[in-house]
Amino acid sequence: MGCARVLAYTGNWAARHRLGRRPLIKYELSMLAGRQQSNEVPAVSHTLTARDLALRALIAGMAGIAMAYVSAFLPLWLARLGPWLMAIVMPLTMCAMMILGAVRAGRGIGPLAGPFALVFLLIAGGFVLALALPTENANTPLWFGLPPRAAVLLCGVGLVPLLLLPVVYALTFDLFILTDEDLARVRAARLPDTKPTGARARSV
Amino acid sequence: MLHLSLGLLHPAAALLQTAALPSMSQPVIGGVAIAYFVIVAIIGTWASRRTRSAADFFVAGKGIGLFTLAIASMAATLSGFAFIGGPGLVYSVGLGAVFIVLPAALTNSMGAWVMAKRLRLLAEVREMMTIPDAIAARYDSRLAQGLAAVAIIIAVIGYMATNIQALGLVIDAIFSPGLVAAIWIGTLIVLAYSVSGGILAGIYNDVFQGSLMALASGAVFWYALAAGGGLSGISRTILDTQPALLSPWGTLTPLAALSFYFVFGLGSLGQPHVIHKYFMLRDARQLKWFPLLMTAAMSVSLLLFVGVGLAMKALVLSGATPALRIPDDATPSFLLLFTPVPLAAIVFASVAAAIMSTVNSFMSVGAAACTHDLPVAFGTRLTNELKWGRIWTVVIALVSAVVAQASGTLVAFLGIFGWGLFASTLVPALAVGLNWAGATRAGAVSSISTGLVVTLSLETMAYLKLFAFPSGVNASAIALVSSMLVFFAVSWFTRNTALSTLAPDVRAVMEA
Repeated sequence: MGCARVLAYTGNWAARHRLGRRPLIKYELSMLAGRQQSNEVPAVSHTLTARDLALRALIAGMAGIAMAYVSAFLPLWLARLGPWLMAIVMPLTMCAMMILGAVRAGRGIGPLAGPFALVFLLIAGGFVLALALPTENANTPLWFGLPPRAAVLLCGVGLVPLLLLPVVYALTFDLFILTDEDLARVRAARLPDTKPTGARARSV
Repeated sequence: MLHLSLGLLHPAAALLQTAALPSMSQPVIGGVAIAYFVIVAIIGTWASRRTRSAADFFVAGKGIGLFTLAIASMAATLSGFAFIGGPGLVYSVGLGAVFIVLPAALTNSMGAWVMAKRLRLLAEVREMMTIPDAIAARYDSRLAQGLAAVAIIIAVIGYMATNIQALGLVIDAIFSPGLVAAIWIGTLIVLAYSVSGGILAGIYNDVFQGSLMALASGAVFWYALAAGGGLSGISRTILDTQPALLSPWGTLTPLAALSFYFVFGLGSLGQPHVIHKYFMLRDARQLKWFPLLMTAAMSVSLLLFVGVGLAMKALVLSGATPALRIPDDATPSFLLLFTPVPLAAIVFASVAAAIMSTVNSFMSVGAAACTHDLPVAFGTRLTNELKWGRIWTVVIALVSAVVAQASGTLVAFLGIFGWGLFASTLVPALAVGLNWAGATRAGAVSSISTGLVVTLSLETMAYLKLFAFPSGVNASAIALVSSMLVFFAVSWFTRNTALSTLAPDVRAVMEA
């Protein structure tokens, strides 16, 4: 049963990409930003949502992190690939987690797509540059008072996301993260009995 | 004693503070410390008069404001490690240690997107007192709630033992009563305000303590830059003799440094002593400014972490000060040699403050797990949760204080798995589960069980030296990856049951 579902699901994917004849990345990026119109979705039984994409990225990221750790048990030439893999999949995991939290039903992640993509590029780029750039010595010039690799890492992975994300969160909060209507809808869903699940009062 | 076998450094081991500090017995330092303890007692007494119910005791009556939430969350997140162990780690391994705090650029915003809104909205539709309550509501599962409570209790005891021992070391360094007496003095002070005022006392003490931490850290960072000749001067001195310390990974391997980022980044979503504070916010709409405020407060508070470690290394390498006895002497030595005594006194009080705010938060979540979650998991509920909450707070504190007097190695072992256990048991079921309707009860139970078993078995085997991980690999990361993958796999295979355990009100929260 499970295998049949996997096959059917895979078949749907294949069918969609054959029928759609549209570059996958373009379609999925537009989904992520919530710009995909319903009449643009290929006519198959399963269509991807931004949440699906985030989940896939999260699962792929976790699998990648697992592989990076496994590489440490392998011969040296394979073990050297571990940090490179980690440098890519770990930011992917973090950004996928943020997207999963930010995504709104039927609205993708709207204005957050750009900042999240930028943060992924900054963090992954920072890690990759730190791995790729040459080692420092006593004559290395300083950037902002630090050796170049350290400066790139601290600015790209630390400072810019640190300044950017909280501001983006605040600026998009009223329109996209939690509106008064959202709050009213949640309060309307409140059950008459608000006791914690499974609780039954008993004297002690 | 920090576990500094370079590439083999365990992420959680880096947080431990189990070595004696240099003596700080000076009248001004002692006087400031006493004044600090008096203020803590006053806040505790005030809060105790406002604590009338279990909701007051465990979730501050769900009535705190934005500023209070942000500063209290920051204070609970940062333990004394940010002031003593962290600079010591920077001193010994260089910039590799920064990977512990680098995720803070993401974690506060990530926590707001992934957890804060969902948890706060859950408190709108259900009576939420604990993190296992949220798991029970999400999956309609008492088993998941009970397993989460067991994981929390185990981790809390270990974590508290290490923090109480660290508090004892600080008090011993200031007043010199001996370590055992210092441990009991520290325990009794935290216990006094935690039992009387519960989390309400803890929260308002956290605001005081967090403000103190931020002020002290900012001031000390300025002195560190001045003493080292500015950031360029510090970098030049270190590059001349030990350039590896200023490589992005320091003297760690890249995989070890990246492991720090992973465990302390993603793992932050599963720290119950921080995330359960989201229940306490008076108005969900105030979350708008939460990441900005908390990130600002945390950034200032972490300046000392990086600044003092690098400055002391440059000062030692340039011959301005003698070599340190142990890396953890970096902050005490810097304060005594390069800052005015009153500032040093405030920083030492801040160290105690940081530890006490963390201990109080652990006491609260541990007592709530014993008082509320375990009985509910067995299908019952205590009628006087306030009284039992106070009793369990005392029990947990006393057990932790007794454990804290064991050997440094055992306490270190108990502390090591705390962060990893929280992360591996709570991140999949809660952080992913609250944002994905496809998560199932079986997936949650399996992932929590996996986190418990993998963390405890791997850490125990490593403690008993039955095996050693290769450089950069550690049990916390393996447990977190395993529990996440198990969560997804089991949820996939049981996906037909996903919607049957999702109550309409919880679904409304997840779709908001």
